[in-house]
Amino acid sequence: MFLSFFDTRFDPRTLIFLTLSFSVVVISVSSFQLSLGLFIFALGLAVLFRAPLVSTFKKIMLLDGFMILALLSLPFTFASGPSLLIWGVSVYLDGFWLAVSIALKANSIFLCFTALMGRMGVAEFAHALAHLKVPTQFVQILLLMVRYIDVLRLELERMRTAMKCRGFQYSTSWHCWKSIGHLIGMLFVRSIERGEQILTAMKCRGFQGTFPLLHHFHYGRRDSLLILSFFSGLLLFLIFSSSLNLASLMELPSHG
Amino acid sequence: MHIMDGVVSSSLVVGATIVAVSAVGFGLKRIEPDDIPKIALLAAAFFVASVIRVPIGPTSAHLMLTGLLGLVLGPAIFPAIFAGLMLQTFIFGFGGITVLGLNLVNMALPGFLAYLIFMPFLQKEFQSRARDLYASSSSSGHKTFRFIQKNRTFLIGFCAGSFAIAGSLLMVAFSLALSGQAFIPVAKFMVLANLPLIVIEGLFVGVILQFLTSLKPELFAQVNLLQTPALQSSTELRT
Repeated sequence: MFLSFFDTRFDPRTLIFLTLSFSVVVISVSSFQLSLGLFIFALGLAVLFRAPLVSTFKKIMLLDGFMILALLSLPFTFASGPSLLIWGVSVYLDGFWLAVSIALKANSIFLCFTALMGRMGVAEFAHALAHLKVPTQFVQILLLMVRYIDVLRLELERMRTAMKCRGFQYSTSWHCWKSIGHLIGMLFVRSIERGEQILTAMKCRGFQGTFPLLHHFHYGRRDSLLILSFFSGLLLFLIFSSSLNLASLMELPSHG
Repeated sequence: MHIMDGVVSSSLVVGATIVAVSAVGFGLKRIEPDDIPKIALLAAAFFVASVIRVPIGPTSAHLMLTGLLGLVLGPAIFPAIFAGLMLQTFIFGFGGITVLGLNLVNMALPGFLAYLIFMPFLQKEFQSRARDLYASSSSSGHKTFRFIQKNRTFLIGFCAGSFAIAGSLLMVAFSLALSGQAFIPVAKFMVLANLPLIVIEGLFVGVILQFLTSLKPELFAQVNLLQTPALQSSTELRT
């Protein structure tokens, strides 16, 4: 009964609102314990909403691989507070905890996003934006992009294959760079021509500047219940984690 | 050159989001309904083109091309890049939710500035091309002068591309530095590591601009420069 509540479909607008407010809360807390608490909360969300394990894990690895290079330097460069000497290199604890808390924040926002909005399709997201009074031109750009990114990617692949067939090889030379430049230029030319075709096709069908919104969302009692339980859970976690005493952990053996 | 969630201070996030929203609104106001498919398709093309990796010795880099996007789209660069960033966040999961506005400002503003600065030069180049059609100009003078004469479009593209990416680089470094003392070494390192990219990006935007102006000049000629008062005054100054 309790778990099946999270399996029901909610109004996408509710989910967007909750994700945004969670992200704002995450970036506005500054203490390490609160970040940890929020991370555990996001982990709980991912479990409750049954985020697909494998794909979420893969995406998180990608995100962390992206971040780790930037964050690894922090313990060595942020010269403040006590430091440890490891293999002759001084590691600053403040920098280390800063890096950990940034990683926690980015991961918890990502987890919350995957849990709440992971099952939402891009088109549904765009429709929800339109219902949230985002300007219609912007929603149209978003929808057309979603539709045509794959088309253009195939176009690019076709042109690359053609280049390969003619014996093109990647190298660090002016010829190669110029060829890549012309490849990109050709992609733009084709995209513009495609855009003109789309406009003509849309006009033939009587396009008048707006896409009609056929999909309507229904804000129901479940959504109110979700918002209520989300925020009370969040508050509970914040209170609980701020009462934890992690200070002793953070001032571990220091030789600085 | 994306900034991640949780790095920058929340006051910077709020400020950048306000700037970003008003910039997108400014861009949307200048869009004609008939231009929407073209803008969307160009934004999609930029999204796709960022996959292409350019070999540079043993490593490779990918291009941003915001300078070129600015020249092609003008004020519509703001909604176009915003939609691209949103899709990136939605599809791949990274790109950040709270830093969406900051990333937009860092990427699109230099591109838009490149449009404001270099578009008049490009228009002038078009005019002189039209003149050359009637009067066969025998270019004389020093070798370098003749080289510049021949490759003016390339040079405009080079300047616009380099300007946009250098601006983005500085703005990202500046936003990191504003968020705390801890990030200043990282910001310095990032600027240094990306310096060669400024030249490479410029070379590519130059080549692509030359290609596009010879194949689809109407793409650039259609932009009505007199609509923006800032441009009007800058053209008056030079004449």
